[in-house]
This record gives sequence, C-alpha cells and structure tokens, in this order.
Amino acid sequence: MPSEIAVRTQGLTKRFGRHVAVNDLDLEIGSGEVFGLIGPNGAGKTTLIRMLATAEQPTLGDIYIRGQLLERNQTNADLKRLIGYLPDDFPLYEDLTVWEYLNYFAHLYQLRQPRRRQRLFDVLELVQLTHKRRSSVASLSRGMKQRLGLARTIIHEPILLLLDEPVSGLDPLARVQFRELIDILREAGMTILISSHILSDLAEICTSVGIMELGYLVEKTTLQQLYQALSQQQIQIATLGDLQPVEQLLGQCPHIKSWQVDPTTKQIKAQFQGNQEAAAALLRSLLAAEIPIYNFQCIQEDLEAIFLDKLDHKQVS
Amino acid sequence: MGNVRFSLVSRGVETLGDWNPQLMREIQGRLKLRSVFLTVLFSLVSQGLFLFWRYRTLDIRLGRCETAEYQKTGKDCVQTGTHYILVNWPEWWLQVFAWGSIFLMFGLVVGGTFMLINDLSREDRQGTLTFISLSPQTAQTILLGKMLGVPFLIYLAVLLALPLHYAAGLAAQIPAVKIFSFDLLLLASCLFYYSLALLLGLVGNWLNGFQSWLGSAGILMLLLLLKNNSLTKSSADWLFAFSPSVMLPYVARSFDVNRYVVALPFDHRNIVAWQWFTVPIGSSGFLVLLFALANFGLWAWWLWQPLPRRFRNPTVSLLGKKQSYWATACFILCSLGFSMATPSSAAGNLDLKMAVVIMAHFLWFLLMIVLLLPQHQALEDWARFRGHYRSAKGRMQRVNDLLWADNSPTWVAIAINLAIADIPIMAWMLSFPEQEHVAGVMGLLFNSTLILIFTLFNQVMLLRSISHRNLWVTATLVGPMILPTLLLIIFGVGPGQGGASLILLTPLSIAVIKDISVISALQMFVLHLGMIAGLTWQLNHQLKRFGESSTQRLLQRNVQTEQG
Repeated sequence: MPSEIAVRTQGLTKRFGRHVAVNDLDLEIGSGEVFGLIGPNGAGKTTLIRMLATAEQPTLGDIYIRGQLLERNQTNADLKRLIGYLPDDFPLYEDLTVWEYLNYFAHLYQLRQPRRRQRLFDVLELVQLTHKRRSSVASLSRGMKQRLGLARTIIHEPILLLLDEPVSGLDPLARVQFRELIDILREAGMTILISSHILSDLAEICTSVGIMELGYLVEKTTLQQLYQALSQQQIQIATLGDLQPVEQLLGQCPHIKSWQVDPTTKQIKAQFQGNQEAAAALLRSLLAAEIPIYNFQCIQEDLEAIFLDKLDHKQVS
Repeated sequence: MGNVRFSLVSRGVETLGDWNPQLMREIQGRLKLRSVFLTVLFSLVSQGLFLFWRYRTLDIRLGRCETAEYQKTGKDCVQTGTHYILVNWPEWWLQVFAWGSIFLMFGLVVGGTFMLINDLSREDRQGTLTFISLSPQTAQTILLGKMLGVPFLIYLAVLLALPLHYAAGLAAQIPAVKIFSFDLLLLASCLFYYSLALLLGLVGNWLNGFQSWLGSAGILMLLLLLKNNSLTKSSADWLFAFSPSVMLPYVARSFDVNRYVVALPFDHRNIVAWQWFTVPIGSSGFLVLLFALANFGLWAWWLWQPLPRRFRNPTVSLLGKKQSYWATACFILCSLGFSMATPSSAAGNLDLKMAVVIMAHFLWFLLMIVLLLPQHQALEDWARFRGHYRSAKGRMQRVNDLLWADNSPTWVAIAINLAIADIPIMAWMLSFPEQEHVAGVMGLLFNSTLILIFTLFNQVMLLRSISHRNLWVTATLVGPMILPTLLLIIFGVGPGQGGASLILLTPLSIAVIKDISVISALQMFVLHLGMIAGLTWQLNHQLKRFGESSTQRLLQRNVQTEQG
C-alpha cells in the first residue's frame, strides 16, 4: 500500500435541497493508487468527483489534497495545479486547432517555454494525436476528442487525475486505447480516481475500488480483497455426450456446491470452492469416466457479477 | 482552414499568452484570415462611405452658399470679398470629427458590450467556463483577457479609423491633447460598460442568449437618451457622467463664441451648468474629464466586486453584505451630489429633485435586492447547519451572520442599507422649507418600508422549491411594483381622488403624500409595518422548517399521524 495520502475527505456532504447527494463521506486514496468508483446512477459519484475537482462547493466537510486543505471561495491556485479533471461530457473549443487548444490550457496552467512546447509534443504523442495537431478540434472523431480531453487534463502533469465516466460512448477499440493510456499514466505515478459503468474496464486498471450508494461510500477495499471476499470461482464444462454422467461426478466432488445446466449448448457451470489441485483431480475423474469433454475452464466471477449479484444496491435514478 | 499564419504575430500571441492566456485564446480564435480581411474591409469602406456622406452635405456642393438665407444661418461656407465663396474646411472637418467620434463611441461601447455578453453567456451555456475556472488563473486574469480579447475585431476596425479621427480633429484645429482626452474618456467608458457586459454575461444565461440584445440595446438607449436632454439640477444629471459624449462640447469648441453656430451631434451645450455638491464641474473640460473618469473608474471598480465572486462560484450572491453597505454609501454620495446643485427656491424644482432622488433610491434598492440575493440552497444550508442558535453566543452569531454572512437572509442587510441611504437623504431634505421636507421625509419612509416589504416577499417566495428561479426573482420584484400601480390606474385612482392613500402601496407615494391626510397616511404606514411583521414571521417560520433535520421532520410527521 502506498504510504502517502493523495486525497482525503472528512465528513464530506453535499445537499441539493432536501436530497443528500453525498453524505458524510470519509475517503482516503493513497498516492499512486488507481481508485475505481462504482455505484448505480444517482449514487453521488459525479458530485463527489466534482467536489474533489473544485467544480462544486461542499455543503459540509473538508477536502485535503496531499494534506493541504481546499479552501472555500478561494482561487486555491496551488492545489488546482495538482488536479486534472475530465468529466463525462466535456465541451471543447471547436474554433481552435488541436495545438492551439492544448497550448491555451498549457498557458492557463502556467507552463513556461521551453518546457511548454516539449510537454505539448509529449502529451500529443501519448494520446496519439501528433498527426492531428494542426487539425481543427471540430474535425476530430469522438474517440479523438476524448483523447484530446485527456491530453488537456494531464497537460500540467497533475498528481491527481479525476476521470468521470471517461469511456462512456466510446467504441471498443477507443476504449482499449483509453485503457492503455490510463495504464501509462498509472505507471507515471499519477493517482487516478475513475468512475465508470463499464466495470470490466475498471477491473483491469484499478488497484482499489469504492462502492457508492445513496450518497454513502458503502465499501472501500482493494480489488484483491474484494475478489477474495465476494468473488466465487466457477468451472465451465462442455461435453459432446450426455450431461447425466457429468452431473453424477460433480455430485461426488466435495468442492462443488451447486451447478447450472444449459441443455442447448450442453454446458454446465459449477460453483467451485477448491484449489487448482482439486480442479485437476475433477478433470482427471471426468476423463477417466470417458466423458467426451471438449471444454473445461476455471473462471473467476468478475467485478460486474459481484456488483450485480452480491451487493444489495439501490438504484436511485 | 484559412488561419492567418504570420509567425511574427504567432510569436507575439505566445508572449501575450504568458501574460494573459485568455487574451491569447481570444485573439487566436479571432485571428482568422477571413475575419481579419472582412474587418479591415468593413472599416475602410465605412470610413469611405462616411466621408462621402459628409461631403454630400456640403453647403457649397448643394449650392446653398449663395442664397440670402445662408447668410443668416451661417453654415460651412465663407465669403471672401464680393464674389469668392470658399468652403470653411475647419468647420467641415469639425463636423466629420464630431460625427466620427459619435460613431466610434457607439461602435466601441454598444458593439463591444454585445460581443462580450454574447461570448460569456455562450461559454456559460456550453460549460467551457467551468474548465477555465478550474485552472489556477485568477478570475481577474480571465475576465480581463475576455475584455481585451473578445472585441478584438472591433478594436482592429477602430484602430484603422484612428488616423481619420485624428486627422479630422487636427484639420478642425482641435489640439491633439483634447482629442486624446476624449479618447481617454471613451476608453474609460469602455472599461465600465465592458465590466457591466461581463457581469450580464455571467448572470443572464437564463435569458437564453437574449441578454446580449437586451444589454446592448439598453446601453444604446441610455447613450441616445442623453443626446438632447438638458440638465434638471437633480440626481438625473448623474446620467451624463455615464456618456463619453459629455466631453464632446469641450473638445469641439461648442462654447467658442467666435465659432460659426453649427449644430454638432450630441452637443450637450447646457452641460456648462453641470454641478456636483455645488462644485461647477461643467465650467471646464478638465473638470468634466476628471469627474467622468473618476465616475467610470469608481463604478467599474464596483462592477469588479461581484465578477470574481460569480466567476469562482456561480451559486454565491453577487455582492457580499459588507460590500453592499459601501456600495450604497457610494451611490448616495454620487447621486445626491447632483441634487445639491445651486439651490433653487422654486417649489416645482424641489418636488422634481425629491421625486428623482426617491425614484433613484427605489431603483437602487431593487438592484440591491438582486445583488444580495443568496441562492435557495445557500439559505437552506444556512438554516440547516447554522440557523439554530439557542445559546447567547449562538444568538450573537446569528446577528453576526445576518449582518455580514453572504448565505444568510438579506432583509437585515437591506434595512441597514436603507439606513445608510436614508440618513443623508433626510438630512438633505431637512434643508427644504417645512412643508416640502415633511412630504419628502414621508415619501422616503414609505418608499423604505415598501422596499423592506419587497425584500421579504421576494425571500419568502424564493424559499419555496421552484424551478425557473430567475424568472421568479423578476416576477417577485416587478410584480408587486407594477401590479398595484396598474390596478389603481384601472380603477381610476389618482392623486387628489378618493382612495388616493392606496397609492402609498406603490413606489409613487411621493406624488400623493402632500394630498393625503395624516390619519390616512398613518393608517397606511401601520399597514406597511403589519406587512413587514407578517412577512418576517413567515420567513422565520420557513427558515425554521428548513433548519429541521430529517429525523426531526420524520418524528414530527409520526406525531401528527398518531394524533390524526
């Protein structure tokens, strides 16, 4: 676990009328962590991220970035230099070229020459838009615009990156490219807080996750601990022959709790609690019984399944 | 693409960006070949057409110089000897200079404000402004960049017109320093009106883009309104200090007795009698320049108080309570000064002076109600988390909040502002004959209680959960102001008629106060106080409800259910 705390919130609360969007939230994210924020719509993820990005004022509570308090109604110039924020739907200046757009933000974040020029080239290369630097922002595809948005967010080398649904609306290829970019930024040592509905993406890039519901942070743990606590191992078996002998053998196996049969594809999905040796022994017994097995696969329940099946979440919108 | 790629310009723009990134962005967005070409073309063609228009009106060209009538009216021809008639070119150039200056004024002020309001409201609607506000740049840097950069093409067009402006002025035998003094005042007026435009752009997005037309048309009307108006020796004379054209008669030698009498546009010839606290500022061009510069500077400074607040946090009230006290003091100082021009003994003049002061007072406080108005959420949070003060220390904190905190209800602050404004106005009124000053003081009192009623009514209404909040703000302020007046007109109630005391429920109380008996006036005053008490109770009740926690509400509901 990283020792330094990048973000800390204390009793953070945001109310909209009588509705409490974020409720007395205490959160700590260590430096270098990639923290995934998951939860149903209206759980308060976006409000939390907006408050951390200084785009929204909390009703109550404090936010500390690297131990420094974010003051209300102040410019907070030093702290703003440490934060990069990319919301899900961000507007761009379509009258500027890609270079002019990034150059403008580099100036806004007080980057000076010659570092500014170098940083612009570095960031453009990172988001693979070097060849588009003279193109008008209006002419970019959605994926390119998303990468340009990310480039704008990291132009000033923030230590904390806040990404709100960054891959929503992107095609699978653009999503993969975006995920790779996040990997590079993680390696560069940035602390990243990312919210997404595409939990498979989060599972691949996050070191820890927080689950929000009705404004509360109901769970905060490392991904490893979450899998250990809530994820079940399954074995998927497919046969060319009858399913009955397979079920018979599964019934004899002490590590199998239950199973579901799909008669059309002749596949069985069994809940398995043993280790790798026990799985090998099961496979051996199936083969010894001369069952024509053509698929035997150990699979772990993913983040999406855990979120949907194991957590009693409340959809609020 | 069509972008201008002058490397020298680009390098200059980059250097500019280090000083003000927003200015760089605005210039880069506008420095396109097509826009620059069209601007240059527009400026040059307009100047050509303008000169042609002035040339066409030359008397000698129209053959009017030889007529007998001409000798009486004395236009731009000079007769030398018995046969030779020459064009009085300095006079012609003076006309060109004066008209050119007016066009420059309208182009810069009205065009610039339109562009600024439009640009800011567009950015606000698109949400791009949020990203800029998340950067470490100060609000001042960003807004100054907007002010200097958004009207960039107008500046370019004006820059191209400056040679003609100076050439015309010099040809009209106006010293360069005088031309420069007019230009300086024009720049100061731009600072003021552009600051106003920035504020309108930031607060008016609920008008869906209409605010740019509304704002610039309002400013255009104000500048046009001052075209022919003569001095009233009342607070209304202050308006002249908001038009750079006030300097034109001094620059264009309107008071020169040797000059041919030719009507110049915006020739505020009577401005010579302009007074402020009996100081004859109109007696010299230098004093007018100094006063107008100070006036624009002061009020531009005041406009820059809400600008950074609103830019950083769109939910905060436009003006802090402490700031409002100082702003009201400045307003009274500026406006009352013009009513203190050399006293006139004529009762009619006193009535006009008082009516203008009271109406200006009323309009200022309508503005104050809007400027101080906290957001619904801020009031609710204040009531929820800080509104409960049971201990003595807590009660002190509550009073402190009501006096100084931005998110607390505003009626106490409005009452203090009323005291700040009313004391000097009353002191001024007491210098009038007894009958006049009693009427004035009564009118002011009715006006002040009416403002308190408006404030409380506005706050009570806005504490409800409503959508289209800005429309409600307008409705709750304009409605109570216009509706009673309208009803009285419909029912034919006027001064000197039965039921005239009902006019005391409108902002026009000063018009009838002399005709109403003391008993009727007292009854209406008690009615005002009753309304204030009722609305205060209602407001406190609402705040108390908002201050309850969810548990308190839940328990209360359970008790009610059990009782039911």
